[in-house]
Amino acid sequence: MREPMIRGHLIMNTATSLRALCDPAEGRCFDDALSLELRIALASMQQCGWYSRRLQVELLTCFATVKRQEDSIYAGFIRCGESFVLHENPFSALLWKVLTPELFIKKQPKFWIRDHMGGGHVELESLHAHGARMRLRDAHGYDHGAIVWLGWMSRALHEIAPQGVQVMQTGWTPSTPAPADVAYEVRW
Amino acid sequence: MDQELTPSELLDLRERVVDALIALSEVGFGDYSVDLTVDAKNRHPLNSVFAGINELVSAFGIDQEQASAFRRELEEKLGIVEKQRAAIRELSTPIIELWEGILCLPVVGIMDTARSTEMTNALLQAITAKKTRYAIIDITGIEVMDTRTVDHFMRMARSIRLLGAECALTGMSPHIAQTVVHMGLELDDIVTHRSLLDALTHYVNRSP
Repeated sequence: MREPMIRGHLIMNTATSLRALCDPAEGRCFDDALSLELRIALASMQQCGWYSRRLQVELLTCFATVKRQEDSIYAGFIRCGESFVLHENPFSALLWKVLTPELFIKKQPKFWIRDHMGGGHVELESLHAHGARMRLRDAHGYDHGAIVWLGWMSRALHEIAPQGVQVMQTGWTPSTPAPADVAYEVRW
Repeated sequence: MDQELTPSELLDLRERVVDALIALSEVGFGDYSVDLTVDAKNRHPLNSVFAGINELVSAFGIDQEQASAFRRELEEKLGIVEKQRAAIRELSTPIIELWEGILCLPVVGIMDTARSTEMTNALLQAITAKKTRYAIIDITGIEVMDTRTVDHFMRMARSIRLLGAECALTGMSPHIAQTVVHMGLELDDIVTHRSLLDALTHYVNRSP
């Protein structure tokens, strides 16, 4: 079976945003905990390149280890996901202008495939005028990835429909970082 | 007269544009393998727009590939130039041990600040490493000497003296000697000898 891959720009943004959320002492621990493989990969990473998802998981796990507290871990991953929207390119910025919340949700499987190769998929369960339910399935081994995705969705929806957006998940906890299924409930 | 779009046609149009923008957002990150779907059977007006975008992205991808190849080539050439420069630097500062305790630095070509600094560093290191008492700077190969060049040698001589060694300048041509006098330059800090042989004989005789 092929190893799950992820786009370079996600890993690069994750590294930068999580590091920025650490205080000096945490930052040193975070830096020390990163493997040589990850550091080498980060030094020459291409935004559009595909890289092993292990690298992303390593970053997220290091952050969780450094932060320890559940609230800080959750908030950090949400901020990390939000940073993907803030560092998107001009085409994405245009995308937020054209999308409606319904269309954004409908396109979630496509967005997932754009940034991930193998190792899980997004399924839309229901979609109505002011909400939707969907699931991230089969993302075994993608520790904390579901929360980063939630952060990205929330921020993107906020760009599309600035008021009253709510995205909730069930399935992830710091002690079960990569459940087989994560359910998302979206309201706008 | 323009035909108005029905809500479902409008939604379809929006969805197609969104699909295209999702694909183009990959281009924004540098992935030029993107290919927007063009349905040849369907005469949707966006088909020709997407076909045009595909062509542009493909052309841009080729340009980017060529630019990367040129950049790599240029970096390789710059690397070679830097290596050659280092080799030239090394060759331009040949320090020869003529006798026990006597070093010689033959200078050829033009002296500038960077070269002078390198020469001084190399000579001072050699003097320390070999416990040298006499350092001879032979300028037979220098054609032009101006105030700045003289200043370089003066500084070099002073540095050598600080290490407890003596410095001599040899091989000064009549033309340079005239220039030095004409320009009123002082060479008081430097011992001069007519030739390298003279200086060597002098120092060998003084050696214990």
